[in-house]
Amino acid sequence: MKRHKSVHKMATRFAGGFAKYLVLIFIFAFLLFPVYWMLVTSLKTNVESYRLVPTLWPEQLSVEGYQTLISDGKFLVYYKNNILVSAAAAVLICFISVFAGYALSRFHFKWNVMLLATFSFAQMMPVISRLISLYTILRKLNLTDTHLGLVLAISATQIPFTVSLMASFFDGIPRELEEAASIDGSGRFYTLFHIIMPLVVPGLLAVGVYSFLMTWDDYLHAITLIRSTDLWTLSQGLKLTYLGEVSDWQLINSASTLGTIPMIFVFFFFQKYMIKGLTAGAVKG
Amino acid sequence: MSGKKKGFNIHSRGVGDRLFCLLLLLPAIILCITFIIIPIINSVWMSFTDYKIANLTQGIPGKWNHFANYIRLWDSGKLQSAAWITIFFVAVTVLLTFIISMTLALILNSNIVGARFWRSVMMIPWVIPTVIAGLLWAWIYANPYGLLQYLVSVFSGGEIADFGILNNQETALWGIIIAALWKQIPLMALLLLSGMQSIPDDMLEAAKIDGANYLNCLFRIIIPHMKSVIAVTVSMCIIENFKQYPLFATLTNGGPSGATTTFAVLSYDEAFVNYNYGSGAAVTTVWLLLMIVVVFIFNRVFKRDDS
Amino acid sequence: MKKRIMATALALMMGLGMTACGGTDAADGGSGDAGTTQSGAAGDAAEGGDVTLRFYNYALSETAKADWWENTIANFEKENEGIDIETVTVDYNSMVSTFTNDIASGLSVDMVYGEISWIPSLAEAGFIQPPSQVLSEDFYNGYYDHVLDQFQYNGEVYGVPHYYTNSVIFVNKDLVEAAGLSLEEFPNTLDGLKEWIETLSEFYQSDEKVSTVFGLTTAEVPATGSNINAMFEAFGGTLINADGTLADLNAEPNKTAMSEMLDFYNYLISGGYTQENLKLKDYRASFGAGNVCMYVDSAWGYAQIGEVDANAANFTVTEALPTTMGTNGKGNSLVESHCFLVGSALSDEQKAAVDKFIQYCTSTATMEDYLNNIGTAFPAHENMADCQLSPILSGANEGVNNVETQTMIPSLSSVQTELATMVLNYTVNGMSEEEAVNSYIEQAEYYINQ
Repeated sequence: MKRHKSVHKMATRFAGGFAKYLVLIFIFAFLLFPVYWMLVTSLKTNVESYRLVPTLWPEQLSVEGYQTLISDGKFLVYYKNNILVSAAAAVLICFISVFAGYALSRFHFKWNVMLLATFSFAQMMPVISRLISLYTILRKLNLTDTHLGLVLAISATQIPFTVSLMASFFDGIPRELEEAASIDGSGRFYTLFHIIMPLVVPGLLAVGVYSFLMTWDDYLHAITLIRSTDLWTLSQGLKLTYLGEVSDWQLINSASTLGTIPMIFVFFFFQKYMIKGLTAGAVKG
Repeated sequence: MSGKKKGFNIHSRGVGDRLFCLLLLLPAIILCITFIIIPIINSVWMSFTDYKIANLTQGIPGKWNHFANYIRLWDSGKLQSAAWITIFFVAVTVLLTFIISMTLALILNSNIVGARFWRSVMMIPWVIPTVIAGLLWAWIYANPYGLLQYLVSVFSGGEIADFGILNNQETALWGIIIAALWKQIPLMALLLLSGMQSIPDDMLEAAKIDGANYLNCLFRIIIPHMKSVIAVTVSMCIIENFKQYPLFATLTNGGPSGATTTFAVLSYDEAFVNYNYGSGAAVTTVWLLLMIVVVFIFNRVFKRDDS
Repeated sequence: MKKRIMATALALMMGLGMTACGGTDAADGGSGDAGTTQSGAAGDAAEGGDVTLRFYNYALSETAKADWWENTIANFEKENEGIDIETVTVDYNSMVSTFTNDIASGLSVDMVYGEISWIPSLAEAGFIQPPSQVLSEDFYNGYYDHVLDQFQYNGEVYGVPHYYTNSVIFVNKDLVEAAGLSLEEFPNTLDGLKEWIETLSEFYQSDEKVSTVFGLTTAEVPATGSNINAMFEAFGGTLINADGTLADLNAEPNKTAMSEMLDFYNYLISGGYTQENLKLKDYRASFGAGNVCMYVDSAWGYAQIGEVDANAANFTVTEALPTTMGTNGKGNSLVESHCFLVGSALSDEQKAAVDKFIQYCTSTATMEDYLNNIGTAFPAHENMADCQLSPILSGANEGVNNVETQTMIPSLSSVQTELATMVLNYTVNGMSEEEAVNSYIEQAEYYINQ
């Protein structure tokens, strides 16, 4: 069949293929060059980054920015804090959304609809509008300036989405399984934990990684709720320690690079589950 | 979002089920109410009162002030201007994100060399924390040492020597749009790509046979099949951009001459720069209402299209 | 196999989560008394006469200053046993909202390191009290009056300066001399200054190295706002009336001053001598990189210049603003100062401790190095009079007493920032002078009458 293709058509196809790669390269240049630029600037001396004609590759490789950050020690503290906060939030979010998602998927009481509506409403809330009351509430609970308070607050922002996501995973699991179990006489919790849960592990992983990445991104909550320097998260620490009014672009870009790398690793390591999970959730709607 | 489900009454086991269901939902409900719903109600209420620093520190409840916050904002024209800028920003960003992501997804879905590799690498901008993304673009846009102004000066043959995209009223919003696109294209492309992959192969074959009819096929087969993915991703994107604050905060802070003062920036300025919390809350309330209306209209239009 | 990997991954996440919770709990305990970087000598919590001061300091968020502060506080605590200073680092821009939150929730703010422009909001909210009620009289009287006057709000002095500056012109000695100009003859009239600008511009016309001949900041940020307000003062204008209302900008001498000032900005921007919408930090960086001939800044801008090029001192000098600027302008300027503010709810022991601490920070021994190397500025108290003045500042020294008092209002920062919008509206956005000024008045009134 292919043999019969006219030369004209092959030419079009070739041109089409060429254009395809051209567009691809163009889009990727847009997506990746800024990242390259961050990396390169972090390796230039500060004086070199202040050139009216920028250099594409450092004339003189310098890792001074990284050295400053690591020898400083503070940076590592922020890092550790952020990992703790994001991991704790991810675990909490997983727990809560697995239960709530199951409930929303399996039971259809009237108030479930209302709840879903509330959740999608809650998802739209801008953080700024909540900052003042949020602080007051956490203060009343005696949770300001603690990681626990921060974890609760940022988990709450992700839960509306992750609950719907989890619910769509449960939707994909046949109910017959539970019915069989209930005929066997298993209790509700037993059924949930031992029969259903193992089937949604990929979904759970997706939710966990997604929450980890999203809560890692938090800045406004941390800056509002946390005061003590030894509890600062990464974004907060970056902003408060290195960006006051400084003009050391090498340092800023080194810090940015260091702040980015673990996220890239987390993503690459878990991407299979996350892509599958997120798309399963979103595609089904 | 996952609202459409078949009823399942046979499974219902009465009161026990109700309790069990409630128990499972309870943590989510508590967290949501405490940290989201109550603060929102509080803020809406605050928007109708005179609420300043002293109210907060001394716990004095705000005094009802007959919509004075709204009137003052409206009269100054700040509210209207913020609404237009926000809507413009959201519309342009969402549209461009969608077009570019769709293009990217289509390319990655055709038999391309190393598609999996591209797909992974593509996600890097998405995982970079927003504060860092803001800094990254601030550095690219910096005047006069930024990359962009150098590129512009090279491509314009030295005519435009000190192009500061964020320093000019006309271009500042575009600077932010570019940064927002960069951050958001990956996720949207990824989701669209997976939506595309669920289209039956034989249908796509049709698209590949004849290059000339490709567009036809795109609009007749591919897009209609992806309707639900598109609806979900686009409405996610609308919400995300309506809420956008960190990029504005790191890049322009609302300037120049208010050209990038969206609802987010205005509400922050009113509340946290001028310490008029009531006024800040009024901005947020309008902001929220507008967002709900836009998302609602979008879903309506999309659903009607469906039938 | 797949399942095993997933299970391991999940277990890993859970494990992480558990340690995280553990970590959180530990942190909770530690921060019950609000965690800090500084903790006093071990075990002193049990002693009776101990005083704790919660010290909110934005300077701790700036690397160079943070080190100095940490050392100074540590030394102070070593010398004064029983006084424990808990520092709280706060982002400059969210300082006031942070206090508000903290005070609202029952934390105390005992001492603040900050800016003059915060005084109205903080005093209005009752967060701070006049330092005269806390500092010992002898010491308090040692402050220079023309500096202290700037701290007045509603007839009371609400803060004490650590050091101060007026607006000075930073000059790149090498660039200026290469163009055949001599610093000995630095112009003291606006017209003379323009001649210099034009000479320099001509000389460096085809030189890519020079990006700015005479920089004035016009970005819409608070620091720019006060810089422009100082320029308005230099042209003989006054922005705020003594009663806290907006001065009539359409009456003399304000009208002339405003008109001449806007013309000067327009001259600079349309002539390409300055770039629109740059922040002070942009100019500092460019100056440090050797791309700027002259620009107007506060003296402490040198800290950032030095960050870009550690040897910048070799080419940096400062000059005072010309003493004849336009019809009425005398090149007067406003004082800017980093300062101490004192919390309103202090016990007697705390008052004594604050007194000690401020005195400790306001002495030649503590400050000499700072004023020369970290934040070049002028001493504001006679106890620091012996400080060797940084050679960079010697040129600007003659204009240092040429300052006016600014009446303070709570919305000062926004009212000043709008000045930048006005300048941009006139110079770049095509508004006429009248439109720009009237639109400014409208915006300023919006903030003043809230």
